[in-house]
Amino acid sequence: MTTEFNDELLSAVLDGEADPDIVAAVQADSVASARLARMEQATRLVATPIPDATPERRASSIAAALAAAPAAPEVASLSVERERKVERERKVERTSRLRNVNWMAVAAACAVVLLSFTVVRSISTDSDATDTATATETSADSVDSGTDDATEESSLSAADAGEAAAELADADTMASDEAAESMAVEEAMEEEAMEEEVTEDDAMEEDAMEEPAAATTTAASHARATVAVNSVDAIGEQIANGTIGPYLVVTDFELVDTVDAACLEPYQDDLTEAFALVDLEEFAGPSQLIVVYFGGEEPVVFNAQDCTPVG
Amino acid sequence: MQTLADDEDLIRAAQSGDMASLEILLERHHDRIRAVCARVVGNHADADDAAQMALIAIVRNLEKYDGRAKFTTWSYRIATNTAIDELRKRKRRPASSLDDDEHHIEPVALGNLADATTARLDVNDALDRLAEEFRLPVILRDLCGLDYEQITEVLELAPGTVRSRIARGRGKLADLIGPISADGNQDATGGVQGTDHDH
Repeated sequence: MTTEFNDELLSAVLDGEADPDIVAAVQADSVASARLARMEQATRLVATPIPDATPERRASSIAAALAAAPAAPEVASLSVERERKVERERKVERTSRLRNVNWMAVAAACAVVLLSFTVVRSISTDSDATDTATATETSADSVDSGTDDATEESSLSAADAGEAAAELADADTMASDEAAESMAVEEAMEEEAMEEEVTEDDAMEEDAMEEPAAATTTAASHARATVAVNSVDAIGEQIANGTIGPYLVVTDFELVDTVDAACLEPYQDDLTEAFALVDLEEFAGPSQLIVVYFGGEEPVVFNAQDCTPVG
Repeated sequence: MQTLADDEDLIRAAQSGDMASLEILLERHHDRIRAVCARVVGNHADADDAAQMALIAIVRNLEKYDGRAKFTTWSYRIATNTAIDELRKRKRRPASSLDDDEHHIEPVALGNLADATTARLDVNDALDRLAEEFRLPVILRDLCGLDYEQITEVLELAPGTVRSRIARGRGKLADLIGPISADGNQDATGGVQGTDHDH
């Protein structure tokens, strides 16, 4: 043989992509043509039609897929809505906190203004007293001058205080404006972040859906999930002996109920997801845990032996 | 004359929430999707499960389908990923009664290649022995009839890699299945000596 005819070349011949002269050369070479025949045979075997699913199984698969169509957005919207509600509550709380801070700032500014006036007045009084004392020792001009100076100083101080107060008021206004602005910016950023978070969550959910590992199926149509299990221990036992496989699919609360109602009773109000995928294999000690996913929440993990939540 | 809606029309309608269109779409593609799942996982029970999971994944991701790839290509990608995942799960779990002969896909008879009473080659066993990297391209090419360009899209591989893996996969399958002698029986001698088919 003829090492020149490798499988890639023969494969190209099989696909009808090789040049005619190469095809002719392969046919002329007994070893190469024998190998080509075997590859062709393998190709034909792979292409052999596979018997279809039974009509019942086919119908149930399609029904399960159709059932998944409206459930997915509903579950997503529930979790998103819940997140938005929490975020709205947080926002109201934050706004009210910021308002309190603003009022406190205004009150502080007023106190400063009052204090300034008090200080100014006190300084002014001190000046007058000093001036009077000095007047007895100096000339009238000096007294006039001193009084003028004091008056000037006093009026300057008052002006400064007024200016300071105005500045404080401005600063307060600016602070309020800035606070309001920063609040608005903060809110906008939060909203954006929330939207991003939601989008990310959606994307994650979508990715999870795309990722076959997270795909769900219905118990009714899943051969391994239709095994009757009436207690948590029974599940562990059946998982251990391989009867029901490493994962258990729960389609609704009723079915979960048959597993162990006590485990889920406290969470019944929160159970929003139509499908709950339980992949016991993801956790150490697969027969020890029951994992239930609620819509938009972290999975709740129960100890299979005593039904207590784990972690 | 009433004509059947094409896939693109059905997809648009399904994306708008038309369940009837979605059902037609799923009906239309179920067998094709199940077939690829069956060849990947090698038995009927797992093939049915994988096909169902693939359909669910298709439905849940349909709104993201933007028509840039053909629907068949897009759905094959989902089906192969789902089937591979199912296969990995199956290999992790202990053997159960569901994996017995009753559910195993019947070995393929050679038909015209040989006398029906003679060799029955289990192509599923042979495929099962192929590494995943060779098995998928071969299945997509020889079972699904995808062209090389579509396979590069499904598997997200370079065209040269796809071509090479298909060739090597076919070569390995040829070795595993063994030559057919003139009387239609499998030749016990196995592979061809002196070839460089693995290169």
